[in-house]
Amino acid sequence: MAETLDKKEVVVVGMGWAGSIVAAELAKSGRQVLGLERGREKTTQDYLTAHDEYRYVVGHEMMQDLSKETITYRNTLDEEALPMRRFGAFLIGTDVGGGGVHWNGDTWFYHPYDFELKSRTEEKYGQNKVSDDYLIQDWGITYDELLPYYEKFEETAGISGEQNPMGPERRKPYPTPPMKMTPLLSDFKAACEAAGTTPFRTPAGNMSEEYTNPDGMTLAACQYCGFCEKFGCEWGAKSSPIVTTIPVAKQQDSFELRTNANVLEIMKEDGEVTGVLYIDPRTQKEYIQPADVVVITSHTTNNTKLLLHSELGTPYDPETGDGTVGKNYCLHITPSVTAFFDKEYNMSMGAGALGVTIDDYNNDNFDHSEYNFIHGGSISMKQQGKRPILENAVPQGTKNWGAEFKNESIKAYNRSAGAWAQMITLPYVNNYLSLDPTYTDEYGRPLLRVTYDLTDHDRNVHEFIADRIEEILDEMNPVSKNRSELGEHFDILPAHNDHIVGGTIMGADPETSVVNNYLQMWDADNVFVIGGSNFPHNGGYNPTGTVGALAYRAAEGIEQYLDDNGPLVDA
Amino acid sequence: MSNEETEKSFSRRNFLKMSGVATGTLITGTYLGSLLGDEAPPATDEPETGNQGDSEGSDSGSQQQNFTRAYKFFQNPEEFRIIEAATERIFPEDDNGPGAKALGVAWFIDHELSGGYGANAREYMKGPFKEGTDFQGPQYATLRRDIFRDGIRLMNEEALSNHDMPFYELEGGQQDEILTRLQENDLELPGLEAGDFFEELRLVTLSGAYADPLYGGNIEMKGWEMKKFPGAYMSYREEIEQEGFVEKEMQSNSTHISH
Repeated sequence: MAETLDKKEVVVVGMGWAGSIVAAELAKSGRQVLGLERGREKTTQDYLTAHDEYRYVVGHEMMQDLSKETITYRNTLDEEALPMRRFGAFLIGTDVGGGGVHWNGDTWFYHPYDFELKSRTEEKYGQNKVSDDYLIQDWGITYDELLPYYEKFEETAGISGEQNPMGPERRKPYPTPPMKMTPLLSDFKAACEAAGTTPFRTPAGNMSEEYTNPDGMTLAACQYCGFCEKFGCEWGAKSSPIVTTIPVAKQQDSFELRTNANVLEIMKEDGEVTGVLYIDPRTQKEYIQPADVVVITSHTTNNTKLLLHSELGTPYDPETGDGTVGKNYCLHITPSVTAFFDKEYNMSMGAGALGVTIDDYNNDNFDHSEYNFIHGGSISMKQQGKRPILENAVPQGTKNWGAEFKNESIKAYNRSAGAWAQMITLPYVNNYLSLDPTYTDEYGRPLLRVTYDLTDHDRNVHEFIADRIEEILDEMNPVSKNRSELGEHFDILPAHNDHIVGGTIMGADPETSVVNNYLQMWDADNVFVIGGSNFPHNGGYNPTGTVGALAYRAAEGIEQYLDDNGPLVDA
Repeated sequence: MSNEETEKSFSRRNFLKMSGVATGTLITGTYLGSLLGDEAPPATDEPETGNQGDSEGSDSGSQQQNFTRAYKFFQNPEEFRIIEAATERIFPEDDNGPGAKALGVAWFIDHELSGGYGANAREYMKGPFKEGTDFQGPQYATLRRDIFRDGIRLMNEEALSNHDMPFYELEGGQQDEILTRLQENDLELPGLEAGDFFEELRLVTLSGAYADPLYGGNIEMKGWEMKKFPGAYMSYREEIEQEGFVEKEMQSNSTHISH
């Protein structure tokens, strides 16, 4: 029998970027906030000996334990979904700080075009540029409306960078200057220019210099040690909740962090949401936590799963097009080209978002009239720090084991580099999230089922972008190149790209979205859902900046809701 | 191979055939077990430099017994030798430096299979297990430790039936032939495709060659040395902008432990 606890004003589910931003903001204004995290406490000190590729990358140390919970996966509606038994295509984090601890740090504003994707596409290219099976829609918010929250996240996180020549003009400079330049990135930058494009420094959450944010939190300068992605930073030099928003929340008396609290269900009484039910995975004891406001800020997959388990909102049905929860599941496809050089670079040195980017083939920055697709992707070369177990690029045609493989992979280790794109995918009628009819998690609840396959549209974008990457890398005079190819179907096994979005999307219309532009549920005024799951499509950049901005916006909305108790946007 | 060695290996082969190792029949009893132990070749040619964790220390001159060089997973020297030979073909010694054998990869695999990796501890292993499409990822119920047990036996059975010699005594080309048949699903394993086992073997070999030496492979960081991967450095701030390749001494995670 679940124990019922004392009521809180606000309960936040998940302590990643989104949850900790909401918690810090509301606690600062004296609201009584409880943060629930299914994982354990984590601090910078936990990463002092973490330069260990085997444990953190091969062993997925910082990721969700799939033996307890995973997703099932199928390509098409008529297939039976089967469990993702081990990690591959994307990763799901856990513990305090969530994905915000093991990320690389790339932090972007999505383009004004992204927020009005449907209306701007129709305005410029007519109604039939993409077929009706692609469920593109406007976000119910404009770039100008979201801009102050983007800026706020940048300041909290201390993002470094410079003006994107293809982007809107910034109102303020980046909080910190661009990171150090490396010989590899200089060569890439020159190649971009030779190819007629306009390179600039990738906006980075790895501190180019020591930085103190508006909350008084100080982040150390990045040491370029090459251990960002899938690792925590022992220097506190990679922006993350555990060095910014979590300690700020903890400074407030009105905030409480409760770890080992895995939320299973959003509780309802007479149709009204009253709190959450969670379990302590150590004792298996269940607790009911009543609250005035419930804020769901977990991973894309788990946000959607929690709504479906709690029977909140209407599940999306791909056959009829009715319903919204689970709709517009999208990801990033990563067109990439690896180039092999004679020249040797210091490839073990680097930082997660240390890079050079071009935006010439992203958004609507080029005329799409003659192309059979819309949008595109940002193209970057990064110097993130190679690690030896999984970095074994060899020229095409080399066998993947034996004497030749060993020799070529060793030779290429410091003589090869890839450039790749964060390429959009368009939402598609059959790509969606639902509950699995067969497989269950450790508590016997249905797993989330992912139905996803590559679309013709996205294949067209991939080919276009890969061509552009090749053109640029050719300017670096490589000895040879490997180019990414899309398979017959999307494959869940090979590592691909962690940026999966959709399922609880935002919008202006309850018929086509789950939450309004304050991330408040249309169907429950006192439930807010925040995360990548809000994106109606994935823009051509890494998503974290937008998650951060939406969280700051939601915090403001929750504050207002606590005073006024009603919908913040009229349906 | 000297005559004496040849003779020894032949008599050994006969013994193995009789004892049932080749066909996978379980050997029980201390008598056979000790006989097998006597017959087995030395487990590794690895130079006795003492515990590798200690080899960076001051008294590397003294020959210390390396207590970590004992089986946590393998049941007999046969299994060890087969894995050692197979991984050496996947990652052979060459002009760049040592191969899997000298890097201690078989020890790495032994230790890993005995723990969470061998038990698929953090993977979803609930049924029902069904054959999926080629795009749904691995769907087999067999645990890694059983896959390796079966895979090792299969490699040796192929060696004995085709060449009348255990796997580790075959010529490199003959070993490659068996590994290739594994990779191409041209051999059969219970519960999964042979190619799935090969892929596991390939990845764990690379892990053993390049993981931090704390796991028992990558002896003296010689795997890293070949790739010029400096290891667990905490800062390259002073070097990141430099033109030209910067040579660094290798550094393992043990450097950061100060107790």
